[in-house]
Amino acid sequence: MTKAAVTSDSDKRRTGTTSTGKRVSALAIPAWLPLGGILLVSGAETVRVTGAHRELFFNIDHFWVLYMLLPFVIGIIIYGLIRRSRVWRLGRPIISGQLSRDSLRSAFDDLPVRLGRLVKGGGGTERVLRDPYSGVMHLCIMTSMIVLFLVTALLAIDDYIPVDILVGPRYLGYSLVADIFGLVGIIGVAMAVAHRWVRPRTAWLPTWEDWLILGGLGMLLITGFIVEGLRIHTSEIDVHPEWSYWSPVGYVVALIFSGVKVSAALDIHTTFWWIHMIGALSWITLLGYSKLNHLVLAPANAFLKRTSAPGKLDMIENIEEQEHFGVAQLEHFSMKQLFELDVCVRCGRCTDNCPADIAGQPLSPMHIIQDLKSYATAVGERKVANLVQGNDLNFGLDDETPMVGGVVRDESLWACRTCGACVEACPVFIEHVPTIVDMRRSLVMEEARMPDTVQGTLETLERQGHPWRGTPYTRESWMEGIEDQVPDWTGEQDYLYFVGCTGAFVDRAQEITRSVVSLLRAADVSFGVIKGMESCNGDPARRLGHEYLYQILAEGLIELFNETGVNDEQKTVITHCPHCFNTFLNEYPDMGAKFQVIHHTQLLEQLVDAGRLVPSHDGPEQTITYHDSCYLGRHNDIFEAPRRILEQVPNVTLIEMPRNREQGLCCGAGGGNMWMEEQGKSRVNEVRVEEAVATGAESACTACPFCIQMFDSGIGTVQLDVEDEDKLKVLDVAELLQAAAVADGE
Amino acid sequence: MDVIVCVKQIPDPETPAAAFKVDEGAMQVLPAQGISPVISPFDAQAVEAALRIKDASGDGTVNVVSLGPDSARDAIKHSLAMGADEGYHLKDDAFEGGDAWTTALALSKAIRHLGVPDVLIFGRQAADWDQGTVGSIVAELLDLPSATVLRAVELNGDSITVSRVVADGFENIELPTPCVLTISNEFGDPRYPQLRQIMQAARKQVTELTAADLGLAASEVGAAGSRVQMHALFQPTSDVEVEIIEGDTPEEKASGLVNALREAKIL
Ligand code: SF4
Ligand code: SF4
Repeated sequence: MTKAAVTSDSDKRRTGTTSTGKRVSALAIPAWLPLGGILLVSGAETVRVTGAHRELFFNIDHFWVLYMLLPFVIGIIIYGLIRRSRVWRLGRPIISGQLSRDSLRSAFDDLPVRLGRLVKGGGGTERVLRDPYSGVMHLCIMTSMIVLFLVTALLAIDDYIPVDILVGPRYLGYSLVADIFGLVGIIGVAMAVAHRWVRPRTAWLPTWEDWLILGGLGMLLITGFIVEGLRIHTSEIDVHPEWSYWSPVGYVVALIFSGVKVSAALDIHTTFWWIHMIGALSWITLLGYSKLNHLVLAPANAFLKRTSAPGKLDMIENIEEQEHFGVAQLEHFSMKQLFELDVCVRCGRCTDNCPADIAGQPLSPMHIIQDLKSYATAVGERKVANLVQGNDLNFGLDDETPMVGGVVRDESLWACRTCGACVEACPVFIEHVPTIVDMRRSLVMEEARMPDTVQGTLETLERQGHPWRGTPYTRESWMEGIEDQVPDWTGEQDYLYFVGCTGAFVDRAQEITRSVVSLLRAADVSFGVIKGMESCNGDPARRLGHEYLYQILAEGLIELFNETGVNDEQKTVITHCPHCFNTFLNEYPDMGAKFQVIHHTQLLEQLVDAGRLVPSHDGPEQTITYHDSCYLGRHNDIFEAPRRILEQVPNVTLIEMPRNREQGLCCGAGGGNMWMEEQGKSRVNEVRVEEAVATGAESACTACPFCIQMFDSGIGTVQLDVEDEDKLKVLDVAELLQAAAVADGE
Repeated sequence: MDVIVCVKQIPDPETPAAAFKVDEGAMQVLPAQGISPVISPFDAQAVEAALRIKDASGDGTVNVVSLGPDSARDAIKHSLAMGADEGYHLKDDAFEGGDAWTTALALSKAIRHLGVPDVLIFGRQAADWDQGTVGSIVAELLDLPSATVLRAVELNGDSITVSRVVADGFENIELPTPCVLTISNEFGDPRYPQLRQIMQAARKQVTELTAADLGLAASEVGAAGSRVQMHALFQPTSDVEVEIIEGDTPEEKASGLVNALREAKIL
């Protein structure tokens, strides 16, 4: 029931129109519909234009040279891709999904999902359009290239088949379309060039690659028009001027050349024709050697991206028998991870959305991918050569900068919140989080090299079964005084309320735990709590890179759930914390979990819907902004349940921060950063609190105990000089609902 | 250089006060639910010091000895995971209920049994009872020079230079080997074991030694041999009273505070 609830929430989300991207993307296809109209109109011109056509190799001798070159061009592209693929194949033969699964099968599981993504994301470039400027720019270039390719192919086909398609009005319509898309292409290239000059972001300084690709494409489009203009000037404008109006750009170019003598113009035409054609063939070879390869690789990556929840990490099976833990060398990555490095187009969107980068901390996901890519080029190729020569894989590479700690710095790996904003933003479907966590795994398990705070957290997890070092509380402290109101789990109830470590050991979170209990009681939910016996589900250890400790903790908890009758398809675990939720829902099935999982906001929404909780008490008028927890929202698609609860509380006006839902900004605590010292210019929670304060809301609501703490401490610094009563208040959705739906003293 | 470290397993000192319980009748500390006992933090630092000495000298062994119940094996395993070579567990019902003296006696016998190493290291005190005497008693029993509460240890050919933490600063001393050292928290954090070492340590055999193996009679060790008698064990209660000093200006508040402190005879 609850897993279904998750899906339904996400379905509802999909029908919502919240992000700009979706609105623009809806425009993508209809945008060019007017052209159809133009083609129809052109039919009306039939009378005057019968016989309009053009000759394929007008004014060109030895055109067969082109056909001779074609196989070479294709060969050069394929050679480039195969060369790169040797580096990809250094990786483990796993494409995606669980490590134990047969690689081919796991690459093709959930085929409909993958194909859907391929069409929408790979071919339709849905994600590219989320940024209106570069979305339009990319759409211009992409459609122009596709149309011009088809147009050229059509002309050639027409020449070699016995029937003439391109004559008369059809030819003129064709001419018009070709001209328009040539122009669209030039506009796209101009936008791209301007983008690099006018809006240079530190995240992506353009390199030779950018200029070569853009310059080359611009050159092709311009020479194309010159060739067309000269053809019109020399053969059409005087004889059939009414035809040439259908090539408006070419017509203008023809006018520019009108002073040139026909014989000279024919010579220039030949020269430019060859420049255009040889240029086109050379340019297209970049497909095998530059980021232009995204034409092929990006759709492939859209297909290959995992279909499991984005917040799920891969399990290391038989961990005790592994030769190495995590990733310290290129060959420890999976083939998919190495492949992915080559797909990156250096667009910078991941970094622009990264909370660590936004706060000026030492992490840029784009640079991680790009630095690994350069390393894979330099060192990967040498490893390949070693293999070819029958040497040891790492022969002669001892003095290379180490990949983890050198190419990618430790502090970058630690600054990651595993928030998934980068993965969500990446237009070519790169998955940064598993790559980053894999390297953390090596730091922690292989080298035991980590910040003191991380070590302290892991030690506390090992010894005390929770991450809250130095807490003065026990697992039962939160129920002091209300023990009799908290039912013991008997195995008979429908729901186990899993309080989790933060809900039990942190005083602010204890208040929320009590609110949830009071709501469950008020709605007469059949639930129980395993008092004092819970232990951490292992999420902090896993995200910090200690997979082994995660597995030990998870096995222990599953054992407890087995013994107490929780691990049953009929039972549902209510989690207090989105991190527990994600781990139970997405990661515990790998460990043998069968129970259902629901987050407290989902259940509360159902109870409000069913009329079992009625938020009827009028509170004061207040505006509230809702902050999405990454592990509830982006990772598990639960955006609407908490919002719908807030909307039903009387006198509450909900306002959004600019970054919300899929684009929500992390509070700064994810990925174990709750327990680390932050390094860098500012702190992520302060950035987020500033965003919340800027909405003018009186309160910020969220549904995660970590977010609450991060907000509380952020407010301390951001609103240092604000009077206490005017400071932003931070509440859990459950607390607000409790105030509105539960009578005092209940 | 060969080193032996003596370690003790204790209830986790990070156990929250609320979970800490004492059985006053039996005069025993009750283990806290869900919290596993750990190697005493000072002893983990002692293992760290031993490993650094071994590294600096370029050869030798680091062996670990612990006296305690079954679970004490985990403290030995932890030291092995950190990088120690062999572990020895002094385990005998006869050892139960002992005090610092009987522990030191058993340890000194064990060390003779294993062969007196170049350096013998302890934590400056066990973080449960905080007596800080076992290291010094063992030094006496073995007739070895000792230096206690150390923040730094440096090899100097055959001798060792150490820095002691004293009330008003540091004291640097040079000792010949063999000698006994006790390590203080100022020495620095112990290393976090690599997973591979944890797994290797889990597979490693720990040698168990009984009182008889060490040539000790049951009457000499444990409760029977104890020289310290416990009369009562209870959790102290502490009452905190808070007085807020009022005043319109910071100066007024400060002088109010000074007066209050004088009244309480603190100033
Ligand atoms: S997961 Fe979040 S914090 Fe980590 S790199 Fe991506 S955007 Fe940055
Ligand atoms: S990883 Fe993706 S989002 Fe980041 S720069 Fe590369 S292509 Fe852009």
